[in-house]
Amino acid sequence: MNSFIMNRRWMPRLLTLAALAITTMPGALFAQAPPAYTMVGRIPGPANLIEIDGSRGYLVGGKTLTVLDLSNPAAPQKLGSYSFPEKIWGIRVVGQTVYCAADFYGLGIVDVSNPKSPSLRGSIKLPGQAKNVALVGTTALVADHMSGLDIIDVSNAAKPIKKESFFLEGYARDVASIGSMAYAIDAPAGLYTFDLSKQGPVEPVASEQSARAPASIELSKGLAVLVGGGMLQVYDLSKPMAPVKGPTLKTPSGQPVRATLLGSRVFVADRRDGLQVVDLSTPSAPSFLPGFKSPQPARDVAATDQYVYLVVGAAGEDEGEVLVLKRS
Amino acid sequence: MRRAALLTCGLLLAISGISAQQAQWPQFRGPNAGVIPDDPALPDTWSETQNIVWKTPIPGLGWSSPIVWDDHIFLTTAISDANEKPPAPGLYDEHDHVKAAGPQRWVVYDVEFNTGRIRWQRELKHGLPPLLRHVKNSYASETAVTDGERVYVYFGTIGLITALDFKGNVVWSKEITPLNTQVELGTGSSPALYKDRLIVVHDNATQSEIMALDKTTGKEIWRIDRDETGNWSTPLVWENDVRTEIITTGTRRVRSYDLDGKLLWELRGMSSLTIPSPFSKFGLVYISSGYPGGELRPVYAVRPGARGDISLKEGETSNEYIAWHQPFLGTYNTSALVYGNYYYTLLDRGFLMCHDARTGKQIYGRQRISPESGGYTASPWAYNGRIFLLSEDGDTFVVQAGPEYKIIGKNTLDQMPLATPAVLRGSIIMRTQSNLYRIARQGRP
Repeated sequence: MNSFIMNRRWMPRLLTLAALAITTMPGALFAQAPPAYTMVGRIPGPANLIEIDGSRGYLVGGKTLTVLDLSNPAAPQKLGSYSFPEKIWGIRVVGQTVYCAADFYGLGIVDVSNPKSPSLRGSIKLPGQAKNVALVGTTALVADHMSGLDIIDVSNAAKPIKKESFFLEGYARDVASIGSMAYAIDAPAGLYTFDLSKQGPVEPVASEQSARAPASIELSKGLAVLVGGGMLQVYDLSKPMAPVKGPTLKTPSGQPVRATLLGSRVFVADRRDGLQVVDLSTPSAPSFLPGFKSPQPARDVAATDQYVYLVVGAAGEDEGEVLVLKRS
Repeated sequence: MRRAALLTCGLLLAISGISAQQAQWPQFRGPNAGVIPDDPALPDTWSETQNIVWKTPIPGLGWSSPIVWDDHIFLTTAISDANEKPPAPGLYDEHDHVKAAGPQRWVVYDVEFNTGRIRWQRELKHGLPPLLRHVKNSYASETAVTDGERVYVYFGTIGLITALDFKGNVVWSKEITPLNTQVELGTGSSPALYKDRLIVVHDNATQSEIMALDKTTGKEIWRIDRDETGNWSTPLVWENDVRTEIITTGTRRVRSYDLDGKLLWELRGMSSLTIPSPFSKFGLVYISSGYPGGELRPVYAVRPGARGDISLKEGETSNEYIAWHQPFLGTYNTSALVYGNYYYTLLDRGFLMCHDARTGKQIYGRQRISPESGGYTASPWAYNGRIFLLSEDGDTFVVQAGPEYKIIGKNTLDQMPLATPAVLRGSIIMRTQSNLYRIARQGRP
């Protein structure tokens, strides 16, 4: 049984978003004609995380980053890979560069301009486990398990320089950015908003208690979704410096692990239910669309207009695979 | 007559000088929860090449703290037959639950205080540990305790409690069932001594209990079940104006027992993992826990004489028995320090905070000790107006005590330490991953 918890402050914004969504996006139609998914391919693992950037895919399996050619989405090809000495917890792709948060190794910057032979351009060791990274211009923000949020100057990728850090009360879990704004989360419950266009030491412009134990954050224009603690927590970012808490959603099994946002649609990797899809085009009435029940627990998900790449695996960093699902 | 008076005066001064020194260090954090009487002979600076009286390699891995009685330094270790993955500093997740690579030998060491020579070592057991542990924990993390006649050791991982005399002979030994703590992190609660009794808290995910043993025979005097899932905190026998009671902290409840094991009071509202040990000062007992990933990280200062459930009700910050409370001041591994009028909090991720010990009012907020320093597990200690903060990188930062935060020194050793040092007789006895040091001003014998 899905449950939606509504915040009263959210209602006027939801109505605006709903009107926008209905007039500008076809998403609302999906509720009437929900898409289903057919598996059209597989990418062998090990596989833990996946990101898509144009016709390229970036697959993380344990300590290894692999570049994929997705020009034929149903038949991805592995091009090249780069391995770190430690586990990769999160990546961000910016053009021909992949920024990797690699546990105690720190931040690794990988040049993928030659996808058949990715190479390390630079790295910096950080105090704790690097859990994920976001980029604002030439500044990398790393969610660091020990120090909170580390601010790294990567203008010279060969020699990243740590400028400062901001302590997060709990364990830093994830960080994401959009424009000059960055949003960091920690467990058990913090959401911190940073405006990198401001001069001076990095300080949050807003912070608040959020979903229980969020593990990851995903952004799209005007929306943020936090995943963790058995639920999805939606935020309205129409005022980027003042996120407004929106609906709290539970997947049927209550085991969402990661998600990705494509417009107003949230694709959720759920440990028990596989792919879950939530339509937020009418945010006041979020609806679950048909998903895809995977044979193994889902770990991560990436999506394009036509395809969904669902990372699945039972246990262990050394296994797992990606299911290529086509929207029918 | 005048000469006799002078002699008497000199003798008194000499006695006074001696008694001002910490003479023995019989338990985890010593007799005063890390506060050492001022002693100008104690060192302020040291390094691998400065003020090291001796350095003795200790095989295996053990995060138990050294204890000292006269010329005996006791410590425990677990020596693996295989190559174990070394511990890494810092706080981390998904590196938990390591299994021993091979059988271990659980060994007690007696090291000479004056020379660093190993006087004896006694192997108590050899075999595969039945429990998993956190990669940063060891199979010998419980600190021994001594009454000057025997040394009492507890290895929670194998459920072994043993008393040895000062020659290394086993006086008695008792086995209890080793059981996993929640999320299989290993064990770490040290035993406590009070008069004729040895108090052992055996909290785990299956059958938690506290027991009082006759220290001369090991015979069980009483044993009480506890509704807990695993804690790493050392019990405190609190002699206060009202009575003597046994304070145990725990994730589900803080509990106080009388000396016969009868429950006196309890308190809800702790963190999801409870490690810091309770201690007393100013007639209060200080209780805390603070898993960084948990929703609660409380500190409570509790008055004596409580009965029943003294938990704070919603919206309360104090009550008849809770003098003050801070909801987010608790630490994960380190225990706090009360020195002078101040309550110092050493956050595991490298910050120091200061509060009024009597009221809980903040004196200064979070101060980053060093941008370069990693984690902190050893508890802070203090003497001569200085507070000492030992990082997992081997750096000891020296901070001036008082209402203003100021770092006044940094002393570096080469290895990772997690154990809290013993400080007495002008010396610091510091344990790192594989060495034991005696640190003292150069020129001391």
